[in-house]
Parts: sequence; C-alpha cells; structure tokens
Amino acid sequence: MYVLQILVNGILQGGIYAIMAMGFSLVWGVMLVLNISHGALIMLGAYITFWLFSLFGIDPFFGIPIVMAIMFGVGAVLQKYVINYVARAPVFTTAILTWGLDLLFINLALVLWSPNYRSIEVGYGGKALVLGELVVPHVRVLILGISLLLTLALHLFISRTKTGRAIRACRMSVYGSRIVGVNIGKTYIICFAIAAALAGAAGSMLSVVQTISPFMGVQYLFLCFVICTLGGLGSIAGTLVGGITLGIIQSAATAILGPGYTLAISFGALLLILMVRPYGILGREQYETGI
Amino acid sequence: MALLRIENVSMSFGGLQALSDISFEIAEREVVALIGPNGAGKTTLMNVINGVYSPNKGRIWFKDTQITDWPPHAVGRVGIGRTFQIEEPFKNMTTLENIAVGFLFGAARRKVRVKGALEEGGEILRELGLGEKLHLSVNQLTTGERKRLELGKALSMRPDLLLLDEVMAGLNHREIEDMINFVKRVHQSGVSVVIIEHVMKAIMAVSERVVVLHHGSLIADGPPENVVNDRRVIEAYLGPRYAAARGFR
Amino acid sequence: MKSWQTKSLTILVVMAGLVVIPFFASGYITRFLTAVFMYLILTQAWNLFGGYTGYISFGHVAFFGVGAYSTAICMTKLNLPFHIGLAASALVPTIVALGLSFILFKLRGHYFVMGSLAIAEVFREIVSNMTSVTEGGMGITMPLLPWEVETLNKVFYFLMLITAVVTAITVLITVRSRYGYAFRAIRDGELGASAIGINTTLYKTFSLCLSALFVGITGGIYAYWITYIEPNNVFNAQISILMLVMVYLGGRGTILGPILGASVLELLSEIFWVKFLTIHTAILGIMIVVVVLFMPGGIMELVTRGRAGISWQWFKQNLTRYKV
Repeated sequence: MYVLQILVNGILQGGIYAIMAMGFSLVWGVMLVLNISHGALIMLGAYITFWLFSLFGIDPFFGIPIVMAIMFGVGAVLQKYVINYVARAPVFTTAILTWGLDLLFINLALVLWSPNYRSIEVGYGGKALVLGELVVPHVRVLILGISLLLTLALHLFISRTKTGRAIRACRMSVYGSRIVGVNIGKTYIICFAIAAALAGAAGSMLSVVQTISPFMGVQYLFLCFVICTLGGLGSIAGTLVGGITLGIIQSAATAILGPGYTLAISFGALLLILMVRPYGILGREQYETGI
Repeated sequence: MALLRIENVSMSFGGLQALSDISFEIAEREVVALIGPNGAGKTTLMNVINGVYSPNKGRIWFKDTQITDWPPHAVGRVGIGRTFQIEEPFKNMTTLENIAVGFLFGAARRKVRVKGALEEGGEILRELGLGEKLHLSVNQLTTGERKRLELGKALSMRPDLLLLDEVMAGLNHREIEDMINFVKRVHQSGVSVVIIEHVMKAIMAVSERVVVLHHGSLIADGPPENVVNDRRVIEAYLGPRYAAARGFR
Repeated sequence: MKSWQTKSLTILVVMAGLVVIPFFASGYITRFLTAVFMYLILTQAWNLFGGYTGYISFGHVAFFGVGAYSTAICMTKLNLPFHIGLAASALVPTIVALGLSFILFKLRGHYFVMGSLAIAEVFREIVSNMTSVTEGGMGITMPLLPWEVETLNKVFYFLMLITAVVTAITVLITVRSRYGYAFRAIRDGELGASAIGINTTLYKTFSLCLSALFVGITGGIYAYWITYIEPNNVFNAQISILMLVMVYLGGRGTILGPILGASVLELLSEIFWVKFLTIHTAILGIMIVVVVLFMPGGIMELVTRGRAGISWQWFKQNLTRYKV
C-alpha cells in the first residue's frame, strides 16, 4: 500500500511536471534555445493566478484560460523583440540572454508582489479520495487531468494545423523550411508564445498546491530540463513520460531520503540517463542537441 | 609497410548505412584521390579515419598501430592531419596564431614553445602566400586565403598523412593552380595525401591513384586513367543508361 | 617611451597607490576596495574558464562556497590555523572541480549549460543537509581575530589585493602560454581544436581547476572576513550573477575586460544602487541583454574598436547577426 501511495503521488506529481516541461521542450526542441527564463514564466503564471484570485475572486482552475492568454501575449512579445535576435546564435549566447531575462522577471516579481510568500486557499483544496490507505487528493487529480488535456491539445495542434506543421518543419530543418516558404520568425513567435502559455498554465496549477514566491521557478527550470532529457527531445509523448517518470523518482526519493535532495536527485537521474541513453527514453537521434 | 590500412570498415547512422565494408591501403609518399558522387561517404570516411566517428565495424591501422577508436586529438598527434570541408579557422585569433596552434599541439610532440611556434608558423604562411596577412583576423581573409590557412594548419601539425577535404572548392582557376602546386610540393616533401575532390583537373594533376566510393561502398581503385573509364564509376556518376549508351555491356 | 614601458610604469604607480590607500582612507573606502578586489579575483578566475574556453559556467559560486566552508570547517571543527584553512580553500575546490570535470565535460553544449546551472544549487542543498559537518542552515561562525577594526580592515584589504595580483599574473602567464592557445582554440572551434591535436577534455579540466582554485581561495578569505557563513550567503546565486555580468560587461576572453567590468560595476553599485536596491537584479539582467545583443565583446571591444569603429551601424550589425 505504501509503495502504491508513492506511485500514485509520483504519477500525480508527474502530471504537473509534464506540463511544466512541455513548454520548455517545445522551445528547446524546435528552436534549439535553452530558455533559462522558463521557470520565471511559470512563476509569472502563478502570480497572475494569484491576482485573479485575490482581486477578482476567480478560481484558479477557471483562471487558466485567462492566464494562458496573457502569457501567450507575453511570450509572443518576448520572442519577437528579444529572442528572435539570438535564435541562430550559439547555445551559450542564447542561454546568457535568456538568463538575463530570468533576472528581469524575478526582479519584476519582487517589485510587484514583494518577496513574501503568497498562497491561494481554495475551499476544496483539502478534499481527497480515500481508498483504503491510499490518499488521492482531488486537486491533484484535476491537475493531472488538465495536464493530459493540454498535452492532447498541443499534440493535435502540432499534428493537424498548418502552423503546427510549420513548427515541425522548423524543427527538422530550418533551411528547408525557409525554402518552402515558412516564415521562421513568425513560427518561432507562435511556438514560444505557446510555450509561455503552457508555462503559465503550469504556474496556475502550481499556485493551488504550493506557496508562491518570486524564486519558485528556479528549481523547476532544472527539473524541466531533466524531464526533457529523460523523455527525449522533440517528442511530446516523451515529455509526458519523462515528467511522470521523474515524478515517480522524486516521490520515491522523498520517501526514502526526505525532501531536501530534490535537485541532487534530478541531477543524478540526468547523469544516469545521459550515460545509458544519450537520446533519452523516447528521443530520436536526429533531435539530440549535442555539439 | 602500409602507412594507413583500412580493414572492413562500416559505419551507419541510425538507419543510414554510410560506409559498407571499406578496405584499402595507403602507402608512404602516395597521393590518392577519393572521389564519388555526393553522399557517397567520402567525408564520413575521412571522419572515421580522423577519429571524429568510431566505425561500427572494422579496423584502422596507422603505421602498424591500431587507431580505430582513437579520439581526434590522438589521431592528430600520431601523424594524421586534416582539413575540413567547411573551413573552421579559429575565429578570434589572427592568421599567425591559427597556424601556431598546429605547431603547439601537432604530431611532432616536440617541446615547441609559443615563440618558436609563431616563428615557424610565419614561415609556412609565407610559403602559402599569406605572408602579408599574418596579423590579420581570419575574418578578413578571402575564401581562397582561408582554404590555404586550413591547409597550413594541417601542415603545421607535421603530419605523415594529410587528409584534404575539398580544398579546391570555391577557388578560381588561378587559385586552383596554386593549390595543385602546393599539394605537389607537400607530396614531394614526403607526406602521403588523401584528397577528396570534385575538381577533375586537380585530381588528374596530383594523384597517382583514385579510389571511388558510391553509396558507401568502394567500387574502384586504381590509376586515374583506368578509373575514369571504369563502367561502374561511369554508372555511379552518370547513371546506368548513359553507361549503356557509351557502349559498355 | 615604448608601450611596455608606459604600461609597466602605469601599473607601478597604480600599485603604489593601492598599497598606500588604506593608511589614509577611511574604513569604509578600505572595505569597499576590498570588495572590489574580491570581485577582481572572481571575475578573472571566471574569465579564465568561461571567457577563454567559451564554456559559460553559471554555477561558479559553487567553488566559492566550497572554499568558504573548507576554511570554516578547518578552523572551527578541526581547529587549524588560518593559513591551513586557506590552503584548504584552494585545494578542496580544485579537487571538486577535477571530480566535476569528469561528469561535466561529458555533457555537450546545452547539457553543460544546465549542468553548470544546477551545480551551485546542488552543492547548496548538500551543504545545507550535512548538518553534522557544516551546521546546515545555522551556519558557521569563524573565530574572531583579536585585533582592532582598523587593523582588520587593512589585513583583509591586503589579503584580497595580493590574491588579486597573483590571480592577474597567473592569468597573464597562462593566456600567453600554450594553454591559452588551447583554450582559445576550444572556444573558437572545438572540432577543429580536436583535429589539430588538442585534448579538449584535458585542457578544459585544467582551465576549470585553475579557475576553481582562485575562486575557492577567495571564498576562504571571505569566510574569515565576514566571520559568519551559511549556505545562502556563500552559495548565493547573486555572486554567480555578478561574476558573469561583470565579465560580459568588461569583455570576456580578454585580460583587462574582467578587471574593467568588476571595477565599473562595483563602483556603480556603491554610487547608485543603494538607492535602487529593489531593481538591482533587473538592471543586471538588462545589462546582460544589452551587452549580448549590441556589444557582445563588452567594453574592451569598444575600446579596441576606438571611436572610428563604433557606429549605429555596427550596433545594428551586432543585433542582427544572429537574427532569425
């Protein structure tokens, strides 16, 4: 039973991990850009949700579409006016730039919302489904459900729409895409905007289950990276699998070692995977971002 | 004793078989041209020899030492130098500094000091006709000059085997002539050369032997006159119908 | 006078000035300069690795923290004198760097970036949790020196100054040697560097270890200076941030760049940002974005280009060079 609880916790946690990582994976896989400000985008999503809740009384889950819309806009502006200018640069250059953006966002949050922790109290927060000794909190199941829904939506978008095809084309070959007439700049803008929206959604959902602070995004950045590596770059299903896998690993690790070692565990998981399967669990070789 | 011996080398990338069971030898003081249609696997073969890739199957011997899985720097140190198809000069260094790197880390394993490397580098550059450009940043060189710099860098490693990957690409007639002469001089100084080229004039002028790759397999190996009349080679380049039309059965 | 003579004379004059200052200036200025020297060491050490090999390390503060804790543990738990503690703060981070090199340099490009990002945090976590050795979140209080404030100010002033000078000389010698050539070749084209005979992993490791050594010593001196250390202040991301921004602002991959960047930023910090404390980080972020987009070579690039080389067009070129 205990093991089952760990597993369930892991899967539920994995749901939110997956959606967090989805945006990062999109940007990394398609544009080969390491968006170090991804954690900050998640954090912004959480804060916007907080504002919606505390100023207008909007329930966080209902606020998700609004947050996604706002973050979509933020992402588009960012890509168009900043990141597009370094999209072809070597990885270190883009990383430094997005890192600078990260600093900006965190400071923005510090100024707008002060460093004090905020939290959102929803009435149904404590309710859980109890099956024998197994505790399954409602909120977590809802989060998992929404994550899966968003993942499905993303998959349909990428595979069925024209822009989605453009995104896939860019991922495979920028040169080739240009030749057939894809507007790389615009495609990147939409791609990043979607990623930001997904980050926002992740932030919204996070705000229900943990306290919000300007620095909350920092730890999630590395987790996203590990998840993408675990799951394999360039694969939506892979990110999902990676998220859930990491969720289970973290859940087990917390049970054995206590909560202080999250980052070290993820780091260890990353190294292990890279040694065994340099392309991740589900990744495909041509999308490996090596040299 | 063969300088370089390639034994049953195969290389595949995922589903793509880039090289299939390649075997041949290169003797000392030999110039061999490596030709074949685009995608035949020439650069891949060079990468395998050089250590950038490790072959899936087969072995490579250099001067009786097995170098099959050696990393590029080890291969470089033991006496194999190469140029890259897309020139890779060190962008933030001057021309002279670029060449000096070869002296400092190349095959000789001598205790070359920085000062000595810069001096010798200057000499090679003068021979290559880049004497005026010693202290310029490489960004200011023309394509022809960059190609010569690439060659110079490979030479500064004092290799016994030089791998040239399309050094003539993008050069005008005059520059090609100069490059041909230079390769000849290198050969005369005792270095074996493997040259990947598409410029037929260069191939006929410098090489004593031509090896042809097609779809990753070795389809011909012999003196230039024989190879260019070999049916399989003509088929590879121009298609079976043309070969048939030319009267080969 | 020949240029090297002018240079040597300038350096001599500046050094003489620096040696004399603490005997005439206030404690505030002495402490301010000590902090400047500290960042001079850190930036030069970071630049040796990040600027010259091109491998940007986001987590360099890890070595700072390890150095600080090495000294602290030596002096408190093991009751060893300061000079042993200092030696430890040089040795331990170097060994850590060596160990890390085995892992980190197997990670290519993107993976290295994220790995380095995580390193400092991982160390912070570990140190916070090893409470038996490190007192965890409660921190370690260093034994106090039985001297007056004035003397203490001067002592640490000179400690940092001497270390800064030693670092500068080491960097100068290394860069001009074959190691420097290896580093630059790695930065400019790792594949080409490999093909030309450079064992890139070996040289990257050497660069990282040397860098870690100086960063570690600084951590050790810092611990004794500040007298109280805890995971959050010696594994503080802010230090990594400052190292990076200073080097980028000054001009990475140059010898003077880090010195310029550190001096300029510390000066600006003192003058302006005490007022703008709340947006300090944001300004650093904006600085990075501006430097990367418009003047990637930093101030040194502006200096070497001279008035003739700088124009709106040049800025625009830099901006659009990597544009999609």
